[in-house]
Amino acid sequence: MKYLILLMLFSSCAIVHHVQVGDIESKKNYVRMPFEMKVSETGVDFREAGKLAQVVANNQAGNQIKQIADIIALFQMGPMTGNPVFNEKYADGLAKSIYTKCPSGNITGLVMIRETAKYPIVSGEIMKIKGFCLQKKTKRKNKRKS
Amino acid sequence: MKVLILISMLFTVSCTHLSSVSQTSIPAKKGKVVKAEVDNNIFFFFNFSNSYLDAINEKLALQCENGKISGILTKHESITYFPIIYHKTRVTAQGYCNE
Amino acid sequence: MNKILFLLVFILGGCSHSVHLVNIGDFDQKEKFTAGKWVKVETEQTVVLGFKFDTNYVELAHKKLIIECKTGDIQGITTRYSTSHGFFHWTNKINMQGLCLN
Repeated sequence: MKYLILLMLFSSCAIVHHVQVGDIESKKNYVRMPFEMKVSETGVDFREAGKLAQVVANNQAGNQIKQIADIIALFQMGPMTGNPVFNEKYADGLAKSIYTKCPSGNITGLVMIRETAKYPIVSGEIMKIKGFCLQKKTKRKNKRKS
Repeated sequence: MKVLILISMLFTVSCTHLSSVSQTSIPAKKGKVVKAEVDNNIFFFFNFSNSYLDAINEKLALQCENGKISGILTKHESITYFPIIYHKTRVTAQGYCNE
Repeated sequence: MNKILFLLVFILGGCSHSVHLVNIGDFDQKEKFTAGKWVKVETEQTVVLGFKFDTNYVELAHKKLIIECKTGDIQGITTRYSTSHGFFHWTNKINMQGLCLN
């Protein structure tokens, strides 16, 4: 059993929940420069914490922790994608921050990925955005070797 | 107890759950509103095909043949008509047609 | 010990949320970011014990967003669908924000 718990502690999982792809445009004399931005928030699975504590701790303490986890679960009812987080607004500034990556505003091929990096008890609830910034091609100076 | 379970099951009849939503850019000039809807009946959670989704694009485009549809709000819902036995998934797309 | 447990329940139990998806709409390349102002709306639906019979709060968010920018284009619309959890009830939320260009 202890080896199983150790195995769990080193396990992780990557889960994709939602993907969206936008229009992709290309222009003459423009180059598509890729950019990527990621925001994440830590999610906590109290039920898993309770189960793990029940296995690891002694009988009385383990049962108490399981009870707390069950009570907490009653306060966290509702549909869930990934683990619950304590700040829902962590991805609100993503659209505005695209401007820092592409000040010209020539943005195309936006891909939005909602994913979870799951570890025992905690998880990273990730919002990733990728896209292309269209930049004008610079003229190359041809250097001839003499 | 059995009566309680039956009553609570009856309350879930036509319970609607939102699965996903998206909104494209809304134009300043808004023409007539066009709307299309496709749905899929599911019995006992068995769903063998998602090809019902292919029709929504054409249904929407037919309502705006000489124009551009923008400001599209797409909604994907799951409706429970009878718990476990009969569900429906519905995709609705509505936008503005500028001719 | 029981007081600590009680405190823990109230600290850790409340205020959890789940962000289901975030969609970003496209930007029109003719206009720059600095040319417009960001507008934001949020609508919600409280659900008790899972009983809810419509999803009209989505259309309401759409209408409210249009009211915020009546005469301009709204681009790069970020739509966030999330749920705030509670005790035997939860609140589904739609948050829409976009760049209003007149």
